[in-house]
Amino acid sequence: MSADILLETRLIDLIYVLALAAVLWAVASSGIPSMIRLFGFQSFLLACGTALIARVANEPHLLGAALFTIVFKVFLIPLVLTYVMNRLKIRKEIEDYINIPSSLILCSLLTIVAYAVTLRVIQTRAPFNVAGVFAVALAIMLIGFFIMVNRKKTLTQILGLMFVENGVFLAAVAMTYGMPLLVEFGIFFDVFVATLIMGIMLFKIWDTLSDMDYKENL
Amino acid sequence: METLLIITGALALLSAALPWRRVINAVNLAGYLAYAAVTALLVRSHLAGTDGPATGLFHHDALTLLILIIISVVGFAGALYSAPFIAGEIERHRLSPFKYRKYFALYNLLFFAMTLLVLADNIGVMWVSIEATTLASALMVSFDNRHEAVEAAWRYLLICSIGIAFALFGTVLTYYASSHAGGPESGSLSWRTLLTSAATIDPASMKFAFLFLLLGYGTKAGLVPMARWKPRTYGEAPSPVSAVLAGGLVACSLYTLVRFAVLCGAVLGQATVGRYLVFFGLISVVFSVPLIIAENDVKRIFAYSSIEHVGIIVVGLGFGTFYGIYGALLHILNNAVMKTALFMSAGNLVSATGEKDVRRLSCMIRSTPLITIGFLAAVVAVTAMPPFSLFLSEFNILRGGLQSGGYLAVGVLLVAFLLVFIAFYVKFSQVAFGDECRADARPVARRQQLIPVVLLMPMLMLGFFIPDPLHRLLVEAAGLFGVKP
Repeated sequence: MSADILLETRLIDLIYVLALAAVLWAVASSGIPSMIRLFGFQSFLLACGTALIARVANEPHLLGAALFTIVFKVFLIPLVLTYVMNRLKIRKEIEDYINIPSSLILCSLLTIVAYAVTLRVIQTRAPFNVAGVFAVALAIMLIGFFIMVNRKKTLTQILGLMFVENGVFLAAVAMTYGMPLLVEFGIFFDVFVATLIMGIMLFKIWDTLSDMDYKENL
Repeated sequence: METLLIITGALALLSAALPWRRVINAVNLAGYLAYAAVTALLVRSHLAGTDGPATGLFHHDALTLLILIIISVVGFAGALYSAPFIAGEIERHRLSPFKYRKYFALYNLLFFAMTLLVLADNIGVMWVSIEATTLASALMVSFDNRHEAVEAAWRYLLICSIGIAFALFGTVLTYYASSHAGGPESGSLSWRTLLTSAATIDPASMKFAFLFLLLGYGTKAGLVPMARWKPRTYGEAPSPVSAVLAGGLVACSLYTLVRFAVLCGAVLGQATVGRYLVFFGLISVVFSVPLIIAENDVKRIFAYSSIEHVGIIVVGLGFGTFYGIYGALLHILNNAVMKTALFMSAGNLVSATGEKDVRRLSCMIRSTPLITIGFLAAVVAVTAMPPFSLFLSEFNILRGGLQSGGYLAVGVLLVAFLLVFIAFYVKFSQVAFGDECRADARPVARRQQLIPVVLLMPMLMLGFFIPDPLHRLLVEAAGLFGVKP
């Protein structure tokens, strides 16, 4: 393995650890705007990581996946979510069932679980640390799921789902060098349309609610 | 095969573009007749062995054809029923007249996605199309924009999306498990290729993949840990939508489960996979029965019944013996047609009375005889009474269970059948023959009243004998699991 490749594999590791940090930060953050930004930031990290893997593993079609990530997850989905947030005037602090410090401890436990599971599932000969990336992916999925369950606001539930999707995407890229490009596009498109439709649903719920108190809890 | 996709795709575009209701109806009915005809031709050439080897993205085997038959029946009946129903809703000012086209555009998009799902050989495309069915149907569930309906649609969308995200993870893991043997390049997403190379797939990661796939696609089918969305969704959706979801879409979700059960069974051994299937199926049955007994909203009762029947089918698949699997596959067909008829007749009842609570429905046989006869027949059929074909499929499943030695599971199923029968008898005999007659039924289109009755005819026929082509399809599909009569 040349020094050049070694540097890149280190970078990949760094990027994915940052991606994990981003989702943990989202657990700790209390406002929806910052969560949306963190989601965009994490997606950007994933795109960079994907591009690097494309280089290390010599899989040019991954560049397409990186491009889709930038277009859909860094720009379009955060835009849609911000629009929904502004239209519905959701400004209130996020409410959750478990408070933030305990949530963080729980999420660290989830990360440990993810690493423990990984050791049983993954054996690999890839040119970079696949097991590490897989563990991060699984951890992001679990934490995203936790956000969905823990947060009361509907918009944060969508964000939790998006974090789960990011985790799945990361696993796909790291373990199998992504799906074929056509399938990859289908997946991105579906996720994007799902976000749009969820936004529409939120508007509809908003419209059918008359009680202001109830609207506050959306 | 691509013809089917072209038909549904063209129907979606035409429904969105054409301005006249009558023309939209005619085009849709003609389209679904053509769909059925193409399916029939496919079945004929398949059974004659003249359809040649599968190539490219699409394939069809006996299992695909079985589901295509279901889709064409449900699609045609649904289109026939939807037209007067939606027109009636518009007349009652529950929907704006502009939504007529939108409804049929979504309806056909849903069927396009379902067709793509069953024809696709690629497990990635399968995932994409099942997600597409969720998206199209969520918009249909919230179609009348009532608060309850929108909230139900939101739950449905959120829970199914999370389930489907797990299924995607399972798909990725499957891809990984298959590529593990010979380096990342050798991985495949083609179901056929995966099955033929099952021996080289890594079992450790495949087992992990199977759990995620079962959880993910099980959510969509309505297996218990993730079935909470079903009663609300079926309860609040417009009746034709509930019918199409409980009939067609459940069959499609079960189709994905069958595909992956075959694949994972080939890698992990049928017995391992079967244990999980029996377990999840049984808890679905066990959880749904008390809820059926406690529920009083007519459509929600049937939603719980749908959970129960999905459980029965999955248990049948899990038994792993010929009769179990044969019965389960037949039950997929029966359940699809039955649930369509059931929700349509429940919809008629609700349309005629504006009442969903079974305790407040009484003596319906007097005021709306045809609707009530259809409703009662559907209820009797769904409890698997002998002349109807559900009896035959459930009987086969139980026989398969005894064959495999799963006596406990068979016992649980029998008790569940009995309890559901009693619950249905108590609840619905009151609805039909109760004492307090009222005569204020609203008019319901004749066509709308007849469709459930007509749908029940073939079910009655299938209870007496199974036509040879269907029998051969079922045997061949069961052969995917490696079992023979």
